[in-house]
Amino acid sequence: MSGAAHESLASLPQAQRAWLQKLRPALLAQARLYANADTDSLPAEQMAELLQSMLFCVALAAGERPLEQLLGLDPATLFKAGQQQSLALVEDAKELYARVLAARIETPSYSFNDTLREIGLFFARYDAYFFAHQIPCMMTYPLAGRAPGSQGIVFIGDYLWRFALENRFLACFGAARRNALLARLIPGYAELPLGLFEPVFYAAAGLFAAGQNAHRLGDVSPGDFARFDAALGALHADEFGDFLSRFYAALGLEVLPSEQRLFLGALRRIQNGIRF
Amino acid sequence: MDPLDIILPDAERRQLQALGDVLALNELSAQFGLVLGETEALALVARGESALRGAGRVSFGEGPLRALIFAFCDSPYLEQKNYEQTLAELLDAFYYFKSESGESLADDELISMMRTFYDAYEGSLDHLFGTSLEELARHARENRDGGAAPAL
Repeated sequence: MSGAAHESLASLPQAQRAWLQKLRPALLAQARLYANADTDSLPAEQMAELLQSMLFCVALAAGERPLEQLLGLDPATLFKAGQQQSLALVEDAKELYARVLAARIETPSYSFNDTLREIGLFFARYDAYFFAHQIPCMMTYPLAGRAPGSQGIVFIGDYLWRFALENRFLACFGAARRNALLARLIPGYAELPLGLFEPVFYAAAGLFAAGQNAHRLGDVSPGDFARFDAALGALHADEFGDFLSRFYAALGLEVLPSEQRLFLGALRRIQNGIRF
Repeated sequence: MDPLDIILPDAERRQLQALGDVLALNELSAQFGLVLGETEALALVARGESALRGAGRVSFGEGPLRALIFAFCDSPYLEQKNYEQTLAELLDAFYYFKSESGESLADDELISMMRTFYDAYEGSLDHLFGTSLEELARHARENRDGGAAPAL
């Protein structure tokens, strides 16, 4: 927990502290279960992790409920409900992971491939009972846009959802053209922890905005950047939706309204001078 | 502030509970000529808390003092004149070895190993503090299997 979070806990009103203290029996029970009756003490860090896991589950079950309503509920009951929810989310994420693996693009990117392998290890290591907030794997592949501030299985589920969407976009292009473009734009990209979505989106959207075939990634070079910047920069914010609809159609890509923000965010970043 | 501080019972309450538990054991230890007064018991409970904190641990039970008294009170090397001091040092040793063990030893198992070692070296706490966890474990194993105590 961050220093700021500690300070905010210290300044919690009495009602909220009392509410948090209702977790005590559940925390002690968790500690006993974890220690397997072998001991009645644990390293402070381990105990803190057990508590963080419980708070993660409480937050999961609490959802978007307002604080006043939350204070009327039993945190220990919320913890148990949240624990069950994380177990259910694990099953959902496993299904999503299987779909991502089946649809994965062919790429020499080490971080892309290694991260997918690591997510498989996540499922082997994840402990929804005691350490539900942890992410026990190393993920080096960055996705576009802001990383979610979530933890545990919620983070993995969100990451897989976004990974699947980016992968679906990347799969619109032939592997040879896509890989040739990346090699030209970012020499040595396969060994670097770089996301593939943004450079490919930039080139494809740039080609399309310039009136060319968005699939012809293999022809793009850094010399085209000024032309792409001009074409994409000329778009007004209220034209983004229409531009993207035509862009998706040209690529044969189906995008749900909930998925639109990935592409809108990429366009905005380009207009702000961030190509990839 | 650590959220654990909000949720876990405060040390004072835990100490009061532990004090009662320790004093109740006088009935058993008195059979071996060992008794703790309230002041001594309180000092030991505080020592246990301090050793716990020093080892970077958090307790969610009664602590090892009661188990140590129970396990050691019939040792022929424990006398009333060094009873409190020995228990205090055993508390330190317990948490030292507990941290060293990386959670691989149960409390009861560790206390049993300490008792075996303590008796084998005629109540020498210097030997206990001077040994390693591996040596302690090896000694307990060999002793349990009927072997001789290894020389340190």
